[in-house]
Amino acid sequence: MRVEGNLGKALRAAAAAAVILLLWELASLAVARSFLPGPEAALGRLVSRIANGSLLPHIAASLRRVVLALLVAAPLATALGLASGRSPALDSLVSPFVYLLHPLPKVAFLPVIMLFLGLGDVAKVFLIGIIIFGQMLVSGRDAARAVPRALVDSVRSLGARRWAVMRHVVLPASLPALLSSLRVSLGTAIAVLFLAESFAAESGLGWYIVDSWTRVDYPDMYAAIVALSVFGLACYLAVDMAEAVLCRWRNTD
Amino acid sequence: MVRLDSVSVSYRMRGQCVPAVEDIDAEFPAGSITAIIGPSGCGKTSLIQAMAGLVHPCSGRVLIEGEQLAGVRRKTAVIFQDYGLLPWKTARANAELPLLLAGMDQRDRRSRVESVLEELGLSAFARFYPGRLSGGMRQRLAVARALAAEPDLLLMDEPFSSLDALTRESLQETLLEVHARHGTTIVLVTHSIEEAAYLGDSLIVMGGRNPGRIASRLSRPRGQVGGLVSFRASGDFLSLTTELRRALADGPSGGLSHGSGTPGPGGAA
Ligand SMILES: Nc1ncnc2c1ncn2[C@@H]1O[C@H](COP(=O)(O)OP(=O)(O)OP(=O)(O)O)[C@@H](O)[C@H]1O
Ligand SMILES: [Mg+2]
Repeated sequence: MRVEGNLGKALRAAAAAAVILLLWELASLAVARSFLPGPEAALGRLVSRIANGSLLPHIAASLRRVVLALLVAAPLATALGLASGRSPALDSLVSPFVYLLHPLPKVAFLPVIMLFLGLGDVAKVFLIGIIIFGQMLVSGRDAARAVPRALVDSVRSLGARRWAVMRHVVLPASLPALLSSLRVSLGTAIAVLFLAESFAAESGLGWYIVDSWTRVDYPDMYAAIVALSVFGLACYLAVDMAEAVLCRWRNTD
Repeated sequence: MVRLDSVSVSYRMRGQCVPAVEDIDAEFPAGSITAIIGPSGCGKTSLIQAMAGLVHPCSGRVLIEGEQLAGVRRKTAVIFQDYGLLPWKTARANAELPLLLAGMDQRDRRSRVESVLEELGLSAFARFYPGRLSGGMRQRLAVARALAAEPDLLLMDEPFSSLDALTRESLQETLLEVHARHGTTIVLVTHSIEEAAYLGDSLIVMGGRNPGRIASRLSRPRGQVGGLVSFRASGDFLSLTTELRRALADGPSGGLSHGSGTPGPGGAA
């Protein structure tokens, strides 16, 4: 059953990809301008760039930035979010800051961050990190708050102290919400990554897109855009897979 | 043996003190089954939570084996109506949880839980998540988890009230079997007059509201009936349920302070 379901999902995704490629092809034929090459030109270039190794360092650079930001931000946000969701005292300390800072467009602080942290990776990782952090903090806190008191009581009655309640009740109960906020914030993070890489960088897919643009090498530009899109899709899939493994109990019915 | 010594429980709500139960005196002899029955809001859950060490009485004492209860106790197991089981743990992992929390190593946990699951007819479902079990099996699992810790006191708060009649009766039988085998002291909160009369050696009827109090105490005529199943069909059972129904309708005995709160016999399931 499940295998068939996954196969069906893959087939539908492949069909959607085919439709998108077809529309792209038609658009490129209709426009007939050099800045919209057809998918065969872009994909051909992508394959050759990957084959000769010239695109790989850029993919690796982007991946490194996202993964680093994720590794630092996600555990911190989870810990602080869950803790403040369960402790009114901590929450009254944290929530005013969240309330004021969360709606701010973090990307607008890119220049400030670069002035403070320099033009290197640290600034980019920091920017992506605070986006992931803010999103996961808020949803972790809300999810932890929503854990039914009766569920906590029942586990406390088994002898669980604060820490065990976190580990066996609050964390697993909040995991679905944490993962879906991760999915959303990764999408935002990749958009911001493009912007951050597009100036003051010599590596990354964002830089590559802007560089090929200035070189007027449009097939190269589209090759990198496709690479960045696939990169985003891969992040999405990775979260999906993490969810399928970590929240297996939810697919029972 | 468990003794309540003028126990009162109250909650703080927006700075105000809301009394839930007041001045409860009761004794629960070792190995007995006591049923607590009373209208909604009379503080049955609060009392169970105080006995479980989940809330602290604002006055009075809970004495277990002569010692004053100061918090959660390992040998006390609690079964709730819902929410007792963790949906993200398999049946086996749920049943193992109290042992895991007690620091028992995996092999010992496995073997002990294996036999408890066996006892409750759940061996085949050890790897199932609670979401895939029927309501009856879920409560059976809750009983299994409670037994895994080898408790001497089992507190149950409306454990079977969301089950259909037949499942409920089969769980009542299961509970009596478990009780006969392990001799655990059981305190059971229920809304069902029949369930209270069928399971309880002694019955506590509560009444009133904010605070609730003990309205009356009854006990089942014991010994003269051969089997428990036949007790359900006997005249003694009928007169006991009638007596219970009347006690519930009468409400708190000395209830001068409760003009409006006459609890009706209402939901006699
Ligand atoms: N967490 C709480 N915070 C504030 N007040 C509470 C809380 N829990 C219970 N109360 C108060 O205590 C009273 C008794 O509640 P309790 O849940 O113990 O009653 P109950 O007899 O178990 O009711 P039911 O039969 O509906 O389960 C209620 O009237 C309510 O006002
Ligand atoms: Mg209750």
